[in-house]
Amino acid sequence: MTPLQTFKPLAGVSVLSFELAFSLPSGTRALHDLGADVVRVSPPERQQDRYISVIDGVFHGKRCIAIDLTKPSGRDLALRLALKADVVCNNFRPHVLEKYGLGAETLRAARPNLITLQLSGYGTPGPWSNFPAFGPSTEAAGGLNRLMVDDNEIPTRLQTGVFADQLAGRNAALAIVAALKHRQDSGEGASLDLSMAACITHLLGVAMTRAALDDGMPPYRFNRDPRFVPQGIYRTLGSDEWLSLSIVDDAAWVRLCRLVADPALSPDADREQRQAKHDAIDVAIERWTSNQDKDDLCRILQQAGIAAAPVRTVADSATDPQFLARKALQSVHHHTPKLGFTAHPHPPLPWRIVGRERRRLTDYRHTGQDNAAVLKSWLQMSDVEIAALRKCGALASQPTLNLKPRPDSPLAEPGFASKLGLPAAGTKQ
Amino acid sequence: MRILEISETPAAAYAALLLTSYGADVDRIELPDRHPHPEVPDQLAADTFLKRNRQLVDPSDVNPADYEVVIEDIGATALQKLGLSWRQLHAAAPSLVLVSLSPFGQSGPYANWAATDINAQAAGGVVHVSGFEEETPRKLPGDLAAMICGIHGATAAFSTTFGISNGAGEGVHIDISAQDTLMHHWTRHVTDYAYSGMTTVRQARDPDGIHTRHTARARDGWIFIHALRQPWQDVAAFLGLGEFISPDLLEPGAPQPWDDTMKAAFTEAVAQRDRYDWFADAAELGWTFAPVEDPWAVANGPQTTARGSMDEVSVDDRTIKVPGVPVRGMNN
Repeated sequence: MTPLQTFKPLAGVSVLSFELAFSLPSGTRALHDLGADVVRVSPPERQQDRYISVIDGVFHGKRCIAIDLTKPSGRDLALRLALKADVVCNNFRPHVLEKYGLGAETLRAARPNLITLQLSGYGTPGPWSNFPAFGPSTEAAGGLNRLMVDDNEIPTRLQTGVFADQLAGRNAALAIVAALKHRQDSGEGASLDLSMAACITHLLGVAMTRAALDDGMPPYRFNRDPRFVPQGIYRTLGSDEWLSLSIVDDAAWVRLCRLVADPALSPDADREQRQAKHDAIDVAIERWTSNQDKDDLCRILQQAGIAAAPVRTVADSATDPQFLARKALQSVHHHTPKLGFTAHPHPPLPWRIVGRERRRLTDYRHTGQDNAAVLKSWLQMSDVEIAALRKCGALASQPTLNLKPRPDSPLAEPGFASKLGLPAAGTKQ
Repeated sequence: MRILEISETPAAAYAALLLTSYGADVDRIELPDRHPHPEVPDQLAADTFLKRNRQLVDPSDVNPADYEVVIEDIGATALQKLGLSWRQLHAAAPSLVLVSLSPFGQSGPYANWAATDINAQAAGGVVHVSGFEEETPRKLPGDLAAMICGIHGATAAFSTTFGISNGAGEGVHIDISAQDTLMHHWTRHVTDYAYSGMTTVRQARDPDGIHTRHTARARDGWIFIHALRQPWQDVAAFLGLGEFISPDLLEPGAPQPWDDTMKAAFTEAVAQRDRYDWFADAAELGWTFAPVEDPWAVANGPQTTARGSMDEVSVDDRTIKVPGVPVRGMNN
């Protein structure tokens, strides 16, 4: 059987990324997945070689060069690389790269068709431009936390930890590919400035618009929706297990009543009537769901044409049948086992390209792992020149990170590997 | 770049909004929303925000050869009825890209599932870690799963047409599932579990201590206190709680147990100043505090105003502000 062609629309595009933490790395990881040659520039000390960087997967596959920008020779090297790239991006605080002679204005004066992108917490210009930010702080400033609660509650944050970072990464990738397309059509480069908080605000655009129309806070509805009644999250069998359910019209309501068969549910009730009795309806539904498995319930409800889905947990996401069928996780193989396993699952580009293969993820590349390879391929440097850069301290590298098991982890439990479909250390694949 | 939008949910509508914001010309086939509820106030808000800056076309006037991309969320059967199935599109325009957006994608056991946004959010994983522990998990506000899917759709449109123009081959059909895209937004938890077996729980509603990620009421609103990895004594001194600095230093970032006296002192101390003052002074120290903004504060705040981040839109006889695209330097 002929292997499918790999989908790489950005083949031939080179990206130099001065990146930290999660946000921009997740965006350039998408560019890598689309075929671009992404080189991340790391500082010489092991800032990003930490447990969390490895498990996040945002550095997977990208080549890494470690340059000391505090040295003139390091800055010269970085400038030479930047002027070779199609795209230069960073998520340092604004003006940091300018200080090193690598700001957008300098680069684009030398190469007008270059595309640069600056990603920061609050963007430029403005009084907050140089304020430090993590994803959770931009969620608060962007309006998300306040919209997660009603007026009587303390605003709460999402516990995903990287929601705003991943959203900013998505927007960074979008802005860059849009700029590449624009340059392809016009020959013009671009100096892009992206705000993490503004990404959150734009995603909440409908709620923001509702607030503007009403001149006040939009009503908080918890898990409900005035269009779909009833709608909610209902407890199912097990500890902290749940099901989502959404009744889209009167016909679906009638079908639900038949399934639940509870006298509290009246099949003749229209949407307004159901809205008025939503609390009692929720209690009746949960009486029905709470002793049943969430996946079994979903099958029953979906067979009846009712919108329902299990609330996936960290433990059962990796074995969700839909994720598995669509290959939402790829096994990334390690040269040497990590934490007792020769591979771990990571999500690839989340698109199915009909008739094509997605680019396979490869393992995390540590600080300076690709110094020589990048300098040879981008600048045609010789071994002698590369050695000189190491000697003067412009280049650095660190050994492979040795991950230590976290305390009290159940990794050693029998069956853990098979539960996730992972080959343990020493297992032949 | 010319794009045809065929939408009945926020997924393709948001993708199209983003595409126009980045300079594409988008024609929209006007279809009724999948679940039309014009009597619900949210509908006007959704239409106002999402359905801007495109021109409407009649399906009978559509010539696929006029477009580089068709982006849709109506499904294969409905596309077929319009005479715009993938097979028909590809025959008419071999380099055309079809981007299909849906809650669960067009393959796999859930492909034909009935779904609204809460279902995609739930199956995508973000819901289980949202809200408070020992309470029902909370969905994200609005149709966020569909809209995140839309961002991917816009990215697919630009990147693929770029590649085709560079000789990467013929047009392709890209099938994007909102559930799949959400996996990325909590991937740290899934992969952490795979590497270490550790699970994630929702936060406690009433934490039993002050810690370096805490929301508190300032004089004029809420402030998110986020002093990651800072020693408690430094945070306490900054907040004016010198009397609670203990010689028994705890690990940076660990919760500091508190009693009613300390809790009252903390509440009073934070309430002494405005949130922007806390924000700015914390920033001087390199700490990532943040004001917890409501929609009015976001729309009219100093940073939004300085960046010109809001668009003005006319609705009936009013002009209101709605969020503009978060990037500057591209057609704006």
